[in-house]
Amino acid sequence: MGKIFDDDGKVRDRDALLSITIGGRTTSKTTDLSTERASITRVEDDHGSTLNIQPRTVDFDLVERIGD
Amino acid sequence: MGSMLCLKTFEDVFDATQLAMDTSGAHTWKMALFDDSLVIDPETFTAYGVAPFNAGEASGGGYSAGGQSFTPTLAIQSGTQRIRWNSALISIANVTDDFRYLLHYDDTLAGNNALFVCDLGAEVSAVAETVNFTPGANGWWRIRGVRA
Repeated sequence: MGKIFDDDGKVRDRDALLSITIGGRTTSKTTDLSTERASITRVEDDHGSTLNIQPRTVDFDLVERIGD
Repeated sequence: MGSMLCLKTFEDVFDATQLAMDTSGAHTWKMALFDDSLVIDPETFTAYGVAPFNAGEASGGGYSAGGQSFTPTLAIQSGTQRIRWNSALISIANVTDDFRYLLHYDDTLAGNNALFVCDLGAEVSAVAETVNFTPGANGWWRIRGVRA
């Protein structure tokens, strides 16, 4: 049977491995990078980093000037 | 600089050019990313690959030159007196570059004619990450058909 190592790199025997807690807590960090024109957030977690960008709708409204 | 519509495209749709832009699904539309070095004039910009959109494009990683394909719609937004340009989320994986401007253009047309440039307001730096672009609550842009 191959060697089993713990997180510190020390060799553990099989019985000791059964007593090691497996699994952990996923942490997530969110950074706000928003501008006046777009909502921009970076989400970093154990799976990597994602940028979520939502530009605000641009309304090209008419300006009617009587008499031009 | 601000977001802007491509005035030349509107002109070419209606004049003798009869530019055949198509949002029915028959054409491939793309969104390309550009950095903030660009100087964009709404009276003169015309297409992807034509100045100023022949420089400053994002590159590398998962980003392909020409940008990401997407499916736009242009339709009246009922009850608002506006017509709206919209799409679903546009996602690009593994982007590593800086960008500020998003160019929407018809990739099927030989001229890669542009329609819209979206200004994010500041340059964004992506480092080996997925970038998700979601249109605003009322789409990418709207034009009102009557004065408010």
